[in-house]
Amino acid sequence: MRVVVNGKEQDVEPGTRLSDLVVKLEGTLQDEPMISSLKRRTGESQLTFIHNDRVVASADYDAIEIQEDDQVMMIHPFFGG
Amino acid sequence: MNGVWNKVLRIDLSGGSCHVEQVSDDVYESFLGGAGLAAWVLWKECPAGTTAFSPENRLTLAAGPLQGLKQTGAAKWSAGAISPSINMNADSAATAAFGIEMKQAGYDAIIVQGKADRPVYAVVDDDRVELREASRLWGTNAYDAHDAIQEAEGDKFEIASIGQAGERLVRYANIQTAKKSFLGRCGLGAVMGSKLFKGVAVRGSQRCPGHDEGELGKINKAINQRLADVDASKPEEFRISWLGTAMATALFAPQGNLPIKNYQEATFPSGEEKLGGRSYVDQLHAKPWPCRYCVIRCHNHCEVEEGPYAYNGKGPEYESFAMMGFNCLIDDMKAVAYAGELANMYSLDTISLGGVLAWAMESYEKGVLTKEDAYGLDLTWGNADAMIEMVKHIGQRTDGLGHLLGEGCKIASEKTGRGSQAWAVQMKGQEIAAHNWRSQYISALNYCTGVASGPNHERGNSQHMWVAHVMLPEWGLDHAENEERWSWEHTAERNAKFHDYCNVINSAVHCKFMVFAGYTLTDLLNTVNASTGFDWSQEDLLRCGDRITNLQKLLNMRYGWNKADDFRYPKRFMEPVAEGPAAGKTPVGLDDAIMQYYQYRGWDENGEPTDAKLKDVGLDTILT
Repeated sequence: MRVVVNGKEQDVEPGTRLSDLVVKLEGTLQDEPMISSLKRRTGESQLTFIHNDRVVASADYDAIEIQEDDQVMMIHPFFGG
Repeated sequence: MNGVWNKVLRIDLSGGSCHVEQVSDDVYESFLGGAGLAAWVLWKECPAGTTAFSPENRLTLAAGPLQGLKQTGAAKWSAGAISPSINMNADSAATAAFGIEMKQAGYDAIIVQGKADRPVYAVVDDDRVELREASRLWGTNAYDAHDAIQEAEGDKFEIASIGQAGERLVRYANIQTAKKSFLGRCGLGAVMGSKLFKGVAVRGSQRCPGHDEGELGKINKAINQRLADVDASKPEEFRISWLGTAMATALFAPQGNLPIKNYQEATFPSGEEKLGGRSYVDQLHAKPWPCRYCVIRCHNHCEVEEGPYAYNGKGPEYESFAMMGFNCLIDDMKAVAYAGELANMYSLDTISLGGVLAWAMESYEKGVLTKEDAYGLDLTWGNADAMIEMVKHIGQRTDGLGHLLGEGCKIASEKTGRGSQAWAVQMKGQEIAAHNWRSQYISALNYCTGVASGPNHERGNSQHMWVAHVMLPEWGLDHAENEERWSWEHTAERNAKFHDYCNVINSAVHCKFMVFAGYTLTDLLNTVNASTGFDWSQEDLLRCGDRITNLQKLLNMRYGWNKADDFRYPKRFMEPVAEGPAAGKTPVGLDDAIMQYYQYRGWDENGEPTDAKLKDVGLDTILT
């Protein structure tokens, strides 16, 4: 099924939950120095996820089942410069 | 069309006249407004041979189709002129509410030309426009001028003004507004000074109708809510409304992106510890100081109650921390903040100022400048008090070193000689901002090829693909691997699209910082269409950016740019650092990357737009 993640269409399996996507997306940033540093300092990546224009609390990631044409956006903690 | 007035106000200081002129739809359809409109004014009115300080130079203060909308980020406004630092066309942007009031006064732009026979300021109150004697304000700092004008005209006026550095033609003098935001780069404050133009007060009572008011309301609500929610969802120490851009130092350090000791070193542990976000809040008592309609609230009001660095005002931004702190090896938060606010009051751009101060400190270390040259000051790295005193000397353009440093480090090093050009970290006359070329090579390509305002981190912010993971998926830039920081692959396309992106943002006019909280090109396009009635696609938006970039390139050529200028980059970045995340990295291959950029843009081997390119973006007919 097609969804849009950070503006790019992707295929995901039916039944995929937002928490699955979060794990996958965070995994792509394992070697990114800013995120690695944040994980060391704070224990978390500090990424924010938006599902269909609504910011989702991390406690709710698992409650959301991704549907066809859903939009997911990952926001980094950075600001400035 | 909707969303603009099709009107500009022209103020001719030489004749003391003010009048309104019509602007046709096709100008906005071609260049949107803001930076694009300012470039168009230069193209029409400032032929080759016009210089920054000649009365014929035009200073255009411009809004766009977004000003007046109750959308976060739409308080931005632009200004353009021929710059005294790069001696070419330049634009800069500020925020607060000046642009909104100008639009509400019934003008898309105010064009200032000529030179007054004595200092003046302008009052624009809807259709009442007057010039006022300002001799009593000449010699005051920008904030005092702001207060005096507001006291005379009324507190509902938004003010733009300059301080002593602008009056005394420091080549990197800025223009302040609301005592918290600045048209920072390229010395537009000195252009005002050259015209004996101390400031402008503007107030408006009219609302410019948008094409689809219902749709605009929905768009504004959705964007404002989303961006506010993103910020609120973060832990306090990562909230924009809490730290503003001060959070960037902690996020840049692990990427090797900070400028340290005039870009000579890779780490500055005490700076990383003391110039971070937490001490920003604790020591400066930072509180949000939002621009009009902004839900992000990144500007801060700060207060240091006592001690030698006591002040009450604007909190420093990342670039000020980086350039006046890290780059000068100063780790005292209060001292850096105080120096930054002094600079603001004098009208000194803190990016260029930090670059100039670091050049002076390195010159002092190497014996090229002496204590005698520096009014008895010990310009040793890390000496905060000496730095502060030098800020005063530059702001006042004291005879000697203060005057010399007001020229910027290109001219200062040329006049000083003794090898000091080797550590003048500048290009085309403008000091390099706080993004390290060794950390992501695309920064080097951006600075070398930028045409909007010379080398400028906010007129081609491609560094954000890595340092902040900003992507432009609507334009095909949706992913970048970390290792690609040190690759030239795809950099021509990425760099070109970020140049064009900055041009549409600065012409629409909107705040680029909103992207850090989830603002997208789709948001921008939807807003532009609903405001103007355009039915643009993303391809149209990109083509508009491309068109503005090419117009700016034509202006560069008119004012003396040549290909060799793009290849005269600072030698410092070709010297590797021995440690840190970017150890051993230098942007070798940059020359070839510049040529690839020309090719991607449809420019010839001399870096000039071909006839086919001009036709492709419509400039062949628009400019005739």
